[in-house]
Amino acid sequence: MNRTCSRIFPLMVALATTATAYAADAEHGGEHSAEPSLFAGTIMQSVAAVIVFVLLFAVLYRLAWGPILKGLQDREGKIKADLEAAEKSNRDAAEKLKQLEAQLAAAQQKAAELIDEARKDAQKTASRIEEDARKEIDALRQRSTNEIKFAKETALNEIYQQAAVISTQIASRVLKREVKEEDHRQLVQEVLGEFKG
Amino acid sequence: MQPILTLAASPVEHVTDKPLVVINGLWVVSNVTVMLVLGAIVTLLLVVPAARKIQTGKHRTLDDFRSQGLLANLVESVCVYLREEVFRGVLGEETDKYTPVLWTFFWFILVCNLMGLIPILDLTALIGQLVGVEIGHHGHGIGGTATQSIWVTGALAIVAFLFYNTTAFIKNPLGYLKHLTGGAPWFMWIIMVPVEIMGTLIKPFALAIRLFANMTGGHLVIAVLLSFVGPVLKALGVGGGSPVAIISILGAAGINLLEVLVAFIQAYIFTFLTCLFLGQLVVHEHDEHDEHETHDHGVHVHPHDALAMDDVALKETNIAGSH
Repeated sequence: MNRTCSRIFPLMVALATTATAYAADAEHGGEHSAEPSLFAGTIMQSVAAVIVFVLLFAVLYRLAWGPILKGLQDREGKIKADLEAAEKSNRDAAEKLKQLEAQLAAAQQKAAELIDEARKDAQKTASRIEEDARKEIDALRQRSTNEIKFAKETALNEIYQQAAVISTQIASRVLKREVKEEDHRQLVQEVLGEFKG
Repeated sequence: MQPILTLAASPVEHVTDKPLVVINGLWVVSNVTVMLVLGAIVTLLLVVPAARKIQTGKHRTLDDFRSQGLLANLVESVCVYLREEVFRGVLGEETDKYTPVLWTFFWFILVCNLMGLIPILDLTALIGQLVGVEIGHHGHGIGGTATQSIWVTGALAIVAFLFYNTTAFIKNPLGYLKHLTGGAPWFMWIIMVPVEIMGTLIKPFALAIRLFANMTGGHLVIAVLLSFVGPVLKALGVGGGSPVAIISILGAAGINLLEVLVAFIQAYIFTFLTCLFLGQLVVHEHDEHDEHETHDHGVHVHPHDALAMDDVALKETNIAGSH
């Protein structure tokens, strides 16, 4: 407690001394004895303030406020224009997207129809080709059969004719001379050889 | 030779204006005059280079639409905030027409307020003492806070008063005169007109005294705290006086930080109120016609609401600004 008091006391003394010093100064007069007025000044300070303010405004208006306001207005204009352009682009894009989606749907439908049609065409073509092939094969077979048959008949006819000729020749030869067994064999061989040739 | 702040005879003496050139009793040049000019130069140096970077470039590329650099972004963010969040709500479509004047009020007052926090006066006095030359009035130095002089704040308030009244009158003389009736029936005009005229005349006083009182109050507290240091050290010596000196200096530093906030708030309030007073006069006639539109937009401040906001702003500011 005593220590606290001993610390506070000098402070109080100091403050009291300061206050007393001011009081004494004010009482004893001198250059600073009269308390100066908070309203010190003359009309010239007001005039100076008005002149400085007006000049400052004139200079700032030309060099600063004009460019700043224009800059802010330009920026606002650009932001507004950009926003409007973005909004328009967005609208256009949405419209375009809708159109494209419609076109895509139509294209998909058309593609499906084309694929279906192509499939049917392919099936038709395949059936037709198969049918044609079958017909051709049948025709070919028929023609071959006919040709074989014709060739066979032709060959048989030729054989008959040859056989008749040969028989006639044999008979003529037989009638012209006596035919021995050996001659006969030779004759037969010759005829056969001619026949083969 | 006068001592610097810590040894000053009176804190009030420290914060008051001192003449530098006196002709026929008029302070042709004083500390305040010098600080006004310095404030204007600093404002120009702060805003003009920033404006060059904020303005739109010629090539119209994306970079031309962007502000580049710390200073440009700082100035732009404040300007855009005031224009969009403060002025547009009150002035509506006519915002850009009046914004330059209001921006000038804000930046000039702000710079003057902030420059007052720099101890230019004490530094010049100290330099004068060191080199043995009397700088300023009896070696007090040159500096101070321009917006701490009622003559300056009064002049700025009168400029604001002339600005919004002249603008409103030129725009719509009949509407301006009608505004003086307060919208009351004719038989009430005998009461309403004097009341409205008084209200109109009181507004610049409110502007001037608020700024002056707030700036003076804070500086006075700092001066009082710092003025303890010299006498205490003198009376008790370094050992005994140090605790008081340290507490005083720390307190002054704390108040100085608060003063930074007050500097911004006061510049804002002065500009905001000027804008509101202008809005009451200029936008008034639109309200009757555009009531529906106002409701649609939802950002328009009705002049009567503006008055209410003014009261709230006054209370808040006085709380923040009172020390």
